[in-house]
Amino acid sequence: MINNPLMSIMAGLLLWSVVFVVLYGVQATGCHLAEDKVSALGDWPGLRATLTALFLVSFAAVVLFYFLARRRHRRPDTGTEAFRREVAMHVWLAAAIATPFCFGGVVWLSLCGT
Amino acid sequence: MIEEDMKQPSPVALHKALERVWGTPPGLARLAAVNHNILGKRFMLTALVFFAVGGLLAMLIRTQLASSESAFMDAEQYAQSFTMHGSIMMFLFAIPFFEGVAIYLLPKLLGTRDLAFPRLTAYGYWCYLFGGGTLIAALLGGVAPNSGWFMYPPLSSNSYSPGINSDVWLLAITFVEISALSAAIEIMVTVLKLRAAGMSLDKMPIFAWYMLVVAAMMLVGFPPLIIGSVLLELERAFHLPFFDPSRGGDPLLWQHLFWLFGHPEVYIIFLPAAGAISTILPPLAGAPLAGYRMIVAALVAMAFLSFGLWVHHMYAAGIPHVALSFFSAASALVAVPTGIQIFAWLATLAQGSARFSVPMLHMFGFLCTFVIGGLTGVMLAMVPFDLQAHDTHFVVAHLHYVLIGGFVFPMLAATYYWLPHLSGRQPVQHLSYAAFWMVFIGFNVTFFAMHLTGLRGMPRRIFEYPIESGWETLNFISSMGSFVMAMGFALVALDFILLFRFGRRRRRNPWGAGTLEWAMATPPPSYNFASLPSIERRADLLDPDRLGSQLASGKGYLGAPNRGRMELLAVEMISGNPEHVVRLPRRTFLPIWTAAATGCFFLSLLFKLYWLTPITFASVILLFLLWSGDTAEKTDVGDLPVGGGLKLPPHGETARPPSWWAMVFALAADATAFISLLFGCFFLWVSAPNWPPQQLPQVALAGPAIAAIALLVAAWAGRSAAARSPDAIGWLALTGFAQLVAAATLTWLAVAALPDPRSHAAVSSVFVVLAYAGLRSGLGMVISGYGIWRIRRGYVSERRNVDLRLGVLWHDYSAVAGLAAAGFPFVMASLAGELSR
Ligand code: HEM
Ligand SMILES: [Cu+2]
Repeated sequence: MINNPLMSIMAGLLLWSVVFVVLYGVQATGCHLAEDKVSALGDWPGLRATLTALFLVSFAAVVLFYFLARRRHRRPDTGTEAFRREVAMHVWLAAAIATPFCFGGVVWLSLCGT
Repeated sequence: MIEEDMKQPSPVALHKALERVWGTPPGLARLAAVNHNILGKRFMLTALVFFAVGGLLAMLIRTQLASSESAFMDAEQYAQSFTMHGSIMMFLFAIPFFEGVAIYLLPKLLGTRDLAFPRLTAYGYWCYLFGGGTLIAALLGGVAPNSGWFMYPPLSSNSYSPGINSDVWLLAITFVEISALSAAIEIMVTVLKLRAAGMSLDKMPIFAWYMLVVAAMMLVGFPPLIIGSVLLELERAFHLPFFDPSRGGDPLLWQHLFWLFGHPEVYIIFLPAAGAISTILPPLAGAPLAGYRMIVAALVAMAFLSFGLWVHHMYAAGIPHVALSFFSAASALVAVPTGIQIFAWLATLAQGSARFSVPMLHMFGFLCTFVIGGLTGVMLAMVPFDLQAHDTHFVVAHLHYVLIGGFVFPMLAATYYWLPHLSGRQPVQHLSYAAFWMVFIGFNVTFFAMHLTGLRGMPRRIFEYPIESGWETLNFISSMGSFVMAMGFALVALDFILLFRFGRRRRRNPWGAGTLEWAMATPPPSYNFASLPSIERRADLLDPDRLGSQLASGKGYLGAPNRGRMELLAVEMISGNPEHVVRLPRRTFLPIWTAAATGCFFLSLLFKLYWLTPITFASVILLFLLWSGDTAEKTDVGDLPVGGGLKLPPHGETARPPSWWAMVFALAADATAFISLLFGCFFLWVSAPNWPPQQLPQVALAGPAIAAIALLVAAWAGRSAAARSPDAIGWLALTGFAQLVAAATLTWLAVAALPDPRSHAAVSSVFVVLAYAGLRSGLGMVISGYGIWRIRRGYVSERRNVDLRLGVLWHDYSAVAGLAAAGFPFVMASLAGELSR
């Protein structure tokens, strides 16, 4: 899928970082724009829906890629290629765990204010 | 091994011939040294001197705190002491020390003769020395920085620090950072390109993986700090608001930029130490490293996760719960890859039968201390606890458990392990044990007590406390502990001196290691390997004793220095197949001159001699251009025999030589800086008070449009030039002209078309973005002029056109960044105007 082996090793967490930046950016911008619409709970339904959707899509993508990486890893191979596949698979797994763990909060935690 | 197809000199003759090419004579020539053996040692030694200075400051701090209401220092002296202590330890000791270790060891572990850019190593060293020297001079002059090592505005802004103190920090640390960035680029290129033949990615010594990851982290971590420093200095010197809330700035922006660097920094310091452990533990434990692949994956995970948790230093700053949860979760998660490493070490230990030795003892010290530091770290990562312990001595204790546990102890282990390599002598053991125990016990007494004072509410950074506070006994114990620790370090130093003086010369590979640095004489000759190895197994499972004698007798690649040049082998990045021959530049005084000019540039800013700034900047550029002469060729060299019947092109005649990769990485750092700048501007719009501004940063469409077209023309002409080399003077002239137009337009927009940038952060941020792009285009003009000069001198041919292809990279990125910058006034104006209402 990704040809440069260094890139393919990093791909999982690279995606995680992008998701991180996007969610953080959307949350901050959303709260800024919604200043007067925010409820007492520090919430704004439109923003929560957007963030939740983004979160679910990225979670699904990361899990999907993890399973793809695992399938690729199962294929017999030796040397550098086997090494690359195994490391890439571990990294996708890390991303698949980190995504819900870090961003799951968008579903229920208060979005704006403190 | 490779059969030699050139005539085979005897090992001694070979040594002499190589030494003539690679060696550095004593005397003044040492200032021109570019050899990594010399520079690596120099880096480490200088870092140790700074460690001693930082340690001395720590002793002064502890003396002050030993009793309540102590009259030893006043508030200002105390502030300078802890600020300088923290800054010296982080920027002038920890980072340069591991850079030194890497500079010294990496080429040896990788099976090559030097780093990719020896002159850059030297330049980095001088920048480090001069920058560090500036800080020390300020300390002696009583004008040292005093706002804490993280320099939070408004404390560090004009209103609270009107003197020169903060400027010293901002400028000198940025100066030192140059050496960190250059080391990062150099390490990445070296690990990726200059390895032993056959050393594919999966056969690299594990230390190379660690350093590759660390270098990549430095490349991304330092630019935000540099941008932050530039912005703060712009605010202090020219009153452009970025952190001043009354004009749309926000002090929180500094905290973001600083910790975007600051937390990864902790891992940047820890990972090289961990890499040393992963390298020295297997031979000491007598078993191969367990879980090589898992460790590589864990390294990658740590690198990414550690960037995702910068805000955990800002919990007390008032940030929405969801955002906090991102960072809090990442903070907890990063413990997992750390744990994986520790388990890999324990598994290695369990498989082998560890012999007891001094490095092992320090590793034990590391494990105890680091685990405690990790636990208190997990406590602090919990938001409610952090809000309690924030800014108390509990935090001070935690950070020292992590830094001394995670860096100083492993580095001591590594030093004891590699000193026989560096000196060719065996340690005189008796003192080593006493020294270790004094450091270890002293350390724990000092900092364990600080946990307790912290829990009892003693804030950090206070120079005195009342008697009624009940903190005195614990503080006194802590101070006594610190003196024991200091004596311990003095003993360690004595131990090292004794080793050099009285150590016995013994066999080469005292630990029975399987890595390549032992496949050479000790102390190592300037060229490391008389001929370059080719390996078939993972590079920590080799037999250096056998390999060493083969290589010494010239049975490897490039074993005949009959071309009189410093040559080494570059490999294909992934497979490790030999790809081309790198011909390194010779010893030169240019690095020290260039660093001196760079220093003058920073001094002109520090002393506000702004008329001197452009002159010094131009001289830096000019001096850098002079570097290019040495390795240039006037004719195509053609493929060179490297031994074993193999012929490879020289680096100037290949598609992707080390310099091409260096440019790619440099631009990556550049892009990171630009992105953090844009992030900063965007952040101010989102969160700073006193928005919208009275005057919007509005400009007419024409200026940005002209700049954008010029930038596109430059990129296109630059590409055409490279494709048609060497008949490219016309194209290069067009490139240069287009860049000139772009630079002039962007500068004009910034200086003349905008409202006063001092009025509001919305304007000042547009100003900085435009100025950044203008500066890049100005440099693009220099680069195309340089290309023309190279063609005129006959240094460019169809085959030798790297110079022009480096230009392509530059102009392409200039176009991307410049287009973003040209559009930025419109984005900012509409954000600030419409959307804010
Ligand atoms: C050699 C023994 C050391 C002792 C006795 C010591 C002692 C101290 C003390 C007492 C403070 C707190 C000052 C205050 O907040 O009032 C401090 C701060 C600090 N130390 Fe150390 N330290 C030592 C080594 C190190 C090392 C090796 C490092 C880093 C590699 C380091 C990094 C720092 C940093 C970053 C700060 C924070 C400075 C600030 O608040 O701006 N220290 N140290
Ligand atoms: Cu942190």
